[in-house]
Amino acid sequence: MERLTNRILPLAGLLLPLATIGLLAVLLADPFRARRSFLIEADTLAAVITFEGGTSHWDLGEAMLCRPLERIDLRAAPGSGPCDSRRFAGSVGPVALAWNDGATVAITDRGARGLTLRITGLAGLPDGSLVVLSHERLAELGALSFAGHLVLGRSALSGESGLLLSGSYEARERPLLSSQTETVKSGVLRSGDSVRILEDGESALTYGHLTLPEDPDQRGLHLVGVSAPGRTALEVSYFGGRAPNLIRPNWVDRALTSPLLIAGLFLISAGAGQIQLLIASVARLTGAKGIAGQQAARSPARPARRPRKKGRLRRWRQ
Amino acid sequence: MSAKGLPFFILLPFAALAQEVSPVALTSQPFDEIWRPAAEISGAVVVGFAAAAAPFAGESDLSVSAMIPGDWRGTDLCLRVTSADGRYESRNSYHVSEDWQGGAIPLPYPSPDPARLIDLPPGEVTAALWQGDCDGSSLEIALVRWRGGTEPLLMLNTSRADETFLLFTSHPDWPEVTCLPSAAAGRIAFDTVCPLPVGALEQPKLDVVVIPFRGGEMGREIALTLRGPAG
Repeated sequence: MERLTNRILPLAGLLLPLATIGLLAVLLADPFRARRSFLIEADTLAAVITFEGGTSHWDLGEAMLCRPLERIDLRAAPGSGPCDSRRFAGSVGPVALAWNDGATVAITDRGARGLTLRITGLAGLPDGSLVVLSHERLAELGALSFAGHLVLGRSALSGESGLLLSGSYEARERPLLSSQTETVKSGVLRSGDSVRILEDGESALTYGHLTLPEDPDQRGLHLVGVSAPGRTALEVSYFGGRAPNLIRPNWVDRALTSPLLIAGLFLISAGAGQIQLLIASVARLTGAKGIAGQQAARSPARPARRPRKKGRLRRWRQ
Repeated sequence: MSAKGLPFFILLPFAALAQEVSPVALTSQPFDEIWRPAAEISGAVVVGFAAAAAPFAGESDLSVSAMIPGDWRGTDLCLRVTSADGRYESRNSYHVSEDWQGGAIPLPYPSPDPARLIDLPPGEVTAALWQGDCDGSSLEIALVRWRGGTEPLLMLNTSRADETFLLFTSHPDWPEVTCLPSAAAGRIAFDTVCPLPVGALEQPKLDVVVIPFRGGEMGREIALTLRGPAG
């Protein structure tokens, strides 16, 4: 029995740290967190959406539709409407846009002139067509939803009117062995950032909606997007940056935010304490030497420390 | 005299002669170029008119040539080379000899760090060549060939126009050119690329007008003259 206990004790001492490291790896390592969603919410003066799947449909009601002319006519008068007559033929009427796969809309807030939607790749409408929508009309419409690839804001170069104004992001992950998602990283988006969500280096599929901001005095659009789960990252470009910043959570973010990890570590430490108590009890009952006892037995006895001589100090003080 | 020194003794006068007889001579001393730590934007709309070669497809050395019109003989020229991210810029003066007949000619471009320039992708560098000094600029520009490029591109800074067109005012029957957003990573010095039809450069002078649109409204039009070699 004593021999058996002597074998179990060091083994238990090894197993506990190994179990802790294993739990940390499972909870924190990136390969176990491959499916991650990014959520972005921002007020912006411009956004570009490239639709995917052909499931988005925007019934805009009465709006101005400007179709580009075959050729620019510099001799024509500019006209008084929102679309320049030298380039566009404008008409007011009900506008319904059934976004096919690959169609792109660039939405820009033009202040008092309303919102312009510049459309390319939409079946039945020439590339470069514009829809001009008033803020009041968008307020009546409510949310316009989309499934596609989203770019929020444009880099703050001189002359740029499509800036992101403010916003925030969250990275959400579902840990292994858990059915709940955790917000592992969050932050703010600054004015002038241009933001998109990537998956394996390509633009990620994002689901979202756009509305007017809740504050009526706030300019721009309010836009919310959530990426489909995957190996995603947030790309933030800004004027002056040599390359875009890529934001993705690392193991430190997970360690700081994971309730599962905190609970797991608590359980391990509590379990470790119980096991130690159990081992000590078993060892006492069987008369086995603990690890400390074994080490003490193996190491040669140290000579007793000689008392310190105080003569020198006394002499110096004198 | 040693046998090793003989070839240099013979070749040196020829090299000097070759430099002297070149019809277009670099007059800037020293060669003026700068790699900035941060971007700088001149504010000019027309940033370059150049044909740039793709990496590995063009000439391996830093060869720069230009199509200089015959009527620019006996005058000073300025060559400005700009990178899309606004960090590289060179401005150097050249003098054209009195007997210049017009055509394509290599330009001396003694950059101290040519490898760094060769590494720039083709869409991220452009050049403009005009008659006059380098303190100003001109809207009459000649084509520059950067490392043997063949596709002439007009590079513009439209201050983020939604769309930009090029109209040939001297040839109203020619179709307008739809310019494209620059694919360069840092669209700072120029943001728009207008590909020109190859036949366009057979004209001695080509009057074009740049028309930007933003939010459905036409912006300020810019008229410029592109010079062919036959002028």
